[in-house]
Amino acid sequence: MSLSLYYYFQLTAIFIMLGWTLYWIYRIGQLNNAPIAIMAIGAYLSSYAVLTWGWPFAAAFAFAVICGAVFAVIPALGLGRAPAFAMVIATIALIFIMQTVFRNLPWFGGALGLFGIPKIKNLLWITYGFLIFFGILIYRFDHSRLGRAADIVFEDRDVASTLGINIYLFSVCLQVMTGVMGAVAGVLYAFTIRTVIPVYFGFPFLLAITTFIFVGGYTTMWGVIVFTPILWGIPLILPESFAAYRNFIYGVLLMGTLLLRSEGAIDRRFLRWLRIHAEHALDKLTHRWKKLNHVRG
Amino acid sequence: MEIFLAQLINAIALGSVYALLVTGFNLLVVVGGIFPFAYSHIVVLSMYMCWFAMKMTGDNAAVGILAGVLSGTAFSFITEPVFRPLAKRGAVLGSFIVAMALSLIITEIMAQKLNMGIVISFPQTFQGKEALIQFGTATVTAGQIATIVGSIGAGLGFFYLLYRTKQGRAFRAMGQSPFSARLLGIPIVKTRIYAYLIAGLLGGISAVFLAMAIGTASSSLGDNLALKVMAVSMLAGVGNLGGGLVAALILGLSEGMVLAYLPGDWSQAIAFGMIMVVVMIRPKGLFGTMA
Repeated sequence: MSLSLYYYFQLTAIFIMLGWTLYWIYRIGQLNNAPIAIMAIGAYLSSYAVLTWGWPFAAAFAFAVICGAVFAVIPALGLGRAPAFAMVIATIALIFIMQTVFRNLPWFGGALGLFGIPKIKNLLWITYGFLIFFGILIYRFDHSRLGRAADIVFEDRDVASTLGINIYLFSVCLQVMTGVMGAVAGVLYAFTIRTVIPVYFGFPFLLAITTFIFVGGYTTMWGVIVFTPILWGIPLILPESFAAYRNFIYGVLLMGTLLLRSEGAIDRRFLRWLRIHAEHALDKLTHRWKKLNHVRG
Repeated sequence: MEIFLAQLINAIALGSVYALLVTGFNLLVVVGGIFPFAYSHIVVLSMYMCWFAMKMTGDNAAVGILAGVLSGTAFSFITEPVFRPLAKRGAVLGSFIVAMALSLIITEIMAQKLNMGIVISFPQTFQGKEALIQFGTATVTAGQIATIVGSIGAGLGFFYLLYRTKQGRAFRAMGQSPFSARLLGIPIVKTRIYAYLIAGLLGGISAVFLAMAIGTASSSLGDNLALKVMAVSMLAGVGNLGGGLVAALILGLSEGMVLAYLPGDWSQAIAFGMIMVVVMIRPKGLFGTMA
């Protein structure tokens, strides 16, 4: 596989994971950007463990993910009951705080960051393994009582409380889960790019991930899967003069989508339509096959 | 002691500009019914317009100020139709994401097209670096005094409009309840447009004072300012106009002191850390949201 294709597949998977972190917590109407900050923690701690302490990749991975999870609990406990905007601003502030911390701590390389991170064999399989695992987790969540509870919380928090849903606990758990996903994405990102600098985990990165989820569709998990490869990949194949306008294109797409089709390209209605048409097509096919068999017989 | 005084004055100057920014921001929240994340980016774009006007007229400060103020007003006015459908359906979170998209577009325009993405620097004469008052080695410059006096003047003018005029009553009525305001015969769309114009005017004035206080501008300044403005707004309570002034001064002071006494670039982290703590303990802000 060529190097550019490898990076494309690798980074697409990581960005899908990050898109899912925003999607999962937004299921209860909270826009939590903390996974990006925790991604930085995962990336830095795993890289530091490997480069400075000489730990093997698996140990560094586990260490970084555990630290990410522990760190995710702290703001989660405080923001569990916070109104939507409080969470958005507090978590964006958290991203900036993390950037500043890593930029100013000398043992993480300061503004230059950490580099020379060793290459990991079969990293692509590991990444897609985690992607499939998280995908199954989110799919099972969506099609369970928890998913239905999340729908109610999203629609009306008062009704959800009346029905006995502990919104605070729900929010804390989802924030920790998405924090873990963020930490995993951070480790995989660091070992893909093999350099970690503070500027990677900043606001433009958050805006790109936000574009993937909101243009793709925030009401289902499939929008991110379909649109991340497209939105990430198209600027790579455009001529350089156009590719430089990637963020501009993202901004226009995001604005256009929210104004014209607020739920994104792939929403639940579209999925229902797809399912109905797929069932009809399958029925037709089955009927024709039976007819054919009857004629032959 | 002299360093403390110098930093204090610097902090007050910066804080007064933040106060003006937050006032414009809160006006759009309260009357516009949106969360205008891109407001600071519009202010930075106005700084660029001010700079361009000065470059074209041989560093003429009057032309620069006029260009900054007018462009702030115009850019804010242009964004009104974009947010109108969102304000109509009460999609405040949606308006926040649209504003984020708009901020991305404005940042890219500044980074790619304006001055080829190079940081702009305002003339020393415009910044008013000449010392007017001296306390030993610490000085109070003309720029700092102009910023403080100008911001106070603009702020007082706005609050006069808000509490002593018919238009101000319309703004407050819309802030309380757009439905009741409509029943009272207040033209909703027209009032919103006026709010955008006034917020843009405040933004343009802030752009001029920021140019004096900071002296430079870049495409990334918008993101930094936007977060500080939002953070101040959260600290005070979103939509709380009076509280926003106090919170802006608190942020300006804490930033100034941290810059003076702590090594490295910790001012942002400490400012945001402070805001995170307040948000977690008191999500409605120190002074509560606008009722």
